[in-house]
Amino acid sequence: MAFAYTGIDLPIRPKTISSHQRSWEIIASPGRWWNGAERIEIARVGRAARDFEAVGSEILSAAAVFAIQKLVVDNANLNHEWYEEIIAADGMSEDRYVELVAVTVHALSIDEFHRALGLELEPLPDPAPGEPSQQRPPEAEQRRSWPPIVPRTGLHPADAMLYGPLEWGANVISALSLIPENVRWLHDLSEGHYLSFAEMRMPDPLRSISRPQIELIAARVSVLNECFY
Amino acid sequence: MLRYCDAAVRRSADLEARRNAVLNELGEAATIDAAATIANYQRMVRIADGTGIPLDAFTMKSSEPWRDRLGINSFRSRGNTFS
Repeated sequence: MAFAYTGIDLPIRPKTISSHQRSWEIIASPGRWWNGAERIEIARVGRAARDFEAVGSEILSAAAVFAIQKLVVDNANLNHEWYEEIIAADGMSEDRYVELVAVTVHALSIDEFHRALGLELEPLPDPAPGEPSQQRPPEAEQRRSWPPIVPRTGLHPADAMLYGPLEWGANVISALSLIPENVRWLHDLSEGHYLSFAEMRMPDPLRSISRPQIELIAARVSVLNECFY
Repeated sequence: MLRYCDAAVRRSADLEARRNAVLNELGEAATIDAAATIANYQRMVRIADGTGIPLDAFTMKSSEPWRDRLGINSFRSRGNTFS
């Protein structure tokens, strides 16, 4: 079982552990545009991204590797022109880029949790069999972000609760929705690392640190990353 | 806690010392929650920067009085909102 945390005497919340385990299952499974082996390779390259000499891939294209490195190491300097170049490269597309971003940042988040606590990184999973479905949601629309998104209105009935029960959602929630499963993944790991939809509207105490402390940390991480959003 | 956050994001050599300071002052559960929040936002900033989403309208308005004073308007990713 991944993320057993055996021999570690720390009160890690069960929801945190289950969201890590689910993330590893998601990464190992075929997505819409990358198969399991490719998705695990995306996570591996992301994990090695700061070690420039070692990064390279026999599975992913140079453009994919470069995109992962930029996302991990130089995210403050991404811009629309760079995005257009990446999605136009061989083996890339808007859809494949969105899936690559999702795998990269969710794997990174779990690794960052481990690094912050001084824990060993979890070995990456073995790939599950199967091929990508290659299905783009027909309701996807181009809005103000670089890739198209699936908007809150006009959702497919199967995705009716994609954005949860709230009337309004921040742009970051729908940013990776060109692959709707990403939105569910975003929520799941958010609940493991931060707060659930419901908790966002509940008063303290929610965690062992207060909501103002949580949001101050969030702001600090954003500033250190020079993230305007 | 903010020093712990800085050390974790920057992967600086004092990370263990900063973590131990939080552990000693606030305890294990608080340290884990701080680490989880750091991890969450290391993800969220990259989603925002990697997809070029603009600032949400209500944040745009509410942050107007202090964004420039805090230097936020000089971040390169402001172009995703003001282009």
